[in-house]
Amino acid sequence: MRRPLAAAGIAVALLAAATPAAAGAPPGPVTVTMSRSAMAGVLGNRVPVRATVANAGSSATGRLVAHLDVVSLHEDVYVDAEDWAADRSVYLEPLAPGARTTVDWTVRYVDAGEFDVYVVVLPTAPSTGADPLAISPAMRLVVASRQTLDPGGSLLVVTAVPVLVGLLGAGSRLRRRTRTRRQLSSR
Amino acid sequence: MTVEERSRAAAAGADLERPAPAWLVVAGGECRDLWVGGRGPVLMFGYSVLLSVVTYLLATNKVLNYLEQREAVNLALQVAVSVGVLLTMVIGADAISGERERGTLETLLLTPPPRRQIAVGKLLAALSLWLAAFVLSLPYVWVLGRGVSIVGSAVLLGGLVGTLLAIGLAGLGLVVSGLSGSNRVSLSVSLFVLLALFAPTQLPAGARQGWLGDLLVRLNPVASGLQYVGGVLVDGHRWTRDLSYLISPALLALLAVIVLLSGADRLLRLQRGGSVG
Amino acid sequence: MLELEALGKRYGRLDALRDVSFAAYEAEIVGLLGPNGAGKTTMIRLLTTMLAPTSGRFSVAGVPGNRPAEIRRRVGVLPESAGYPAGRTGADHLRFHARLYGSSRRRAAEVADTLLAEVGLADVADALVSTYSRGMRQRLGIARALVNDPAVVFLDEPTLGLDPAGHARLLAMLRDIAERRRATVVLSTHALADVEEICERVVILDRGRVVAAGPVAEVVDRAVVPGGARVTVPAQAVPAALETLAGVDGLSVVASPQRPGVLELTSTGAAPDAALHALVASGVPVLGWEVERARLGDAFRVMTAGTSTTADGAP
Repeated sequence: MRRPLAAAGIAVALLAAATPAAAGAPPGPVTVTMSRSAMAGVLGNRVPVRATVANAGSSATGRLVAHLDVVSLHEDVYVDAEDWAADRSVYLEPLAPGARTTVDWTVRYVDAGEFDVYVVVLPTAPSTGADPLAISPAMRLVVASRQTLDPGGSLLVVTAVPVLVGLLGAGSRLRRRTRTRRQLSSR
Repeated sequence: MTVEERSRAAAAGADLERPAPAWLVVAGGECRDLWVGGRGPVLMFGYSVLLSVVTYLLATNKVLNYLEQREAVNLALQVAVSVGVLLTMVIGADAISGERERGTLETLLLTPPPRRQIAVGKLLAALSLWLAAFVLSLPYVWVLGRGVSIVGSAVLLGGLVGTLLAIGLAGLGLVVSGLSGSNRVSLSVSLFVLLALFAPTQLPAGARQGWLGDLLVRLNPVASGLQYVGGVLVDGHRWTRDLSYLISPALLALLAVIVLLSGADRLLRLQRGGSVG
Repeated sequence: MLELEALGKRYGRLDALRDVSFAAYEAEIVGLLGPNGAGKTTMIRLLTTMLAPTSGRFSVAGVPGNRPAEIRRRVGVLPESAGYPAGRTGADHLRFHARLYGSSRRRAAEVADTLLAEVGLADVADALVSTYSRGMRQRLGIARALVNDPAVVFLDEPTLGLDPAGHARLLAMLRDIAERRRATVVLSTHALADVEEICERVVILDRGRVVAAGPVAEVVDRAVVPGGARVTVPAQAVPAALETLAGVDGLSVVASPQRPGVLELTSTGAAPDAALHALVASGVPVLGWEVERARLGDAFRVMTAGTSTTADGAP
């Protein structure tokens, strides 16, 4: 469900930005802003991301959906947004004129590199053109890579434990077999 | 008893040492069969190799390296608990039907101890496998979790949830074993039950959302127990916050023990249903 | 030591055992015979509390059948298809069972050592049971059956698969159990020769019922079993002998065509002797007389053929 919605969101946003009519159209009553313009972190971190959705219009909106997306700024880094955040689409109750609401996500840094995070707000009812979708400014993410663990330290454990267990088991079997063989041969 | 009485008794060959309770003797004998020249060491070797592979991949592989250290510990612990209780259940599933087929059950049933005590002994012997698996998992949890102060929590969580699951599944395995007509049926049914219990844990996170998804998780003792572990270890929840997730593992353990003990006479028979050849 | 009164076991509409009554006494070896499916194993399992009877009563070593745990303390059993955990040694196995009968660890070790010596397995006590021969396993099974010094010992086909030496050794052990330990031994077997050799009494089962019970000789005599004899008379006396023998009841006579003067006699128990008396009384010279007495096997075949009759003709 979410993937088609995400793809549609990007396509609509790009289309809206590309068409002269959209480029020259007045801004809609709904606005969405990110709480921060940039963040930096280390691979594997989990961080809260907040967006504020406001109704600057004179009439109440219908039900809305706020959708978070993550885009890599480098084409060699693949992003599967599902890995970065769960429940990317959050459904909102209608906003009264002048009202605002915040929406929170937890984003996990799945890859190292540079990324943009943005939020798209769409009406859930079919658009009549009067309520264009709203897109937040992008929040720049810079994620540094790190080696989570010291592989040298784990190497000792991952080899020693099976070896010890194997030796114990084999030793016990060998001892019993030797004792048995000795008894039987002395008969 | 006076010194003189003790001497006379010893001279007469009387047994002065207190005999052990039957459940302990049965548990000791079954543990011996399992661990000394039995399947226990082989199973634990395979288990340790599996944990070693998982731990090494978590520690060194770039693909898995994105995981936060807490998640690495959680993943390793989930593997340890899952496989540990799987092996425990398999041993339980063999404990009665296997003995029937090997012809060793009859001589055990010919002894005086009540069937209930024999059942307890077999349950404890099966649980020894979980105990060994848990102890073996400690160095892996330590090497993955050092530096982020979660080793203690991980050990306690794994011990608590794993033990509840092990008691429940070992008991279930024994019940299935007692009721099955053959060892093959017993093992098949037990493995099927285990797969059914583990299946929901493999669903994507989205499928487990909503009240229905949450209910299904809570009803499933394995999924519920592992959810609790993840909540505390990874999400940093307080231990008391998600205690309700421990209800189904605890209930399974309790129910399995009650059914095993109350049905011991029926489960521990020469032939399923009590017929004779 | 063992008393059964109208004991029965029913499965649905099938009577595995019906109306079985007999008694066995201290230091006695009782043979339990019957064709396959006669109910021998069922009876042993009832008496050793592996199964519950559906009718009748029994007591073992004075303990009534409704106290199974107490009965299990007083009996020793070697089941027909007893298995042994492959990873155990003989000593481990006996110690384990001794402890289940209430011995402490040390006492169990002493009992195990003593019994292993008694059955001739002391030198392989610490060898794995999986390496034991069939005979060694049977001896270990007997040792296990004696671990609680039982008052009654049940053995189900103990000589199955044994070589002659092992067979003889096992029978000697059973005699020793009865004589030295004063235990009642119940031997369920197909080996009629074993029963004739060591049993004082025999119980024959057929289709769940007792068809004969008592001392072996009595059971043989009670069955109307064709016996045989061979008499040798001078060739010229054969007609006179035939005429004399025709008057003896229950006797059939066949003159041997290859050996003139040799007459083969087939009769019921008492008749061969009556034939000899008749010949002597009539003055026919008797040059040779060989009697083949009826054996237990003959009685068994007659009694389990579905047409068994006793000496007085009653079914």
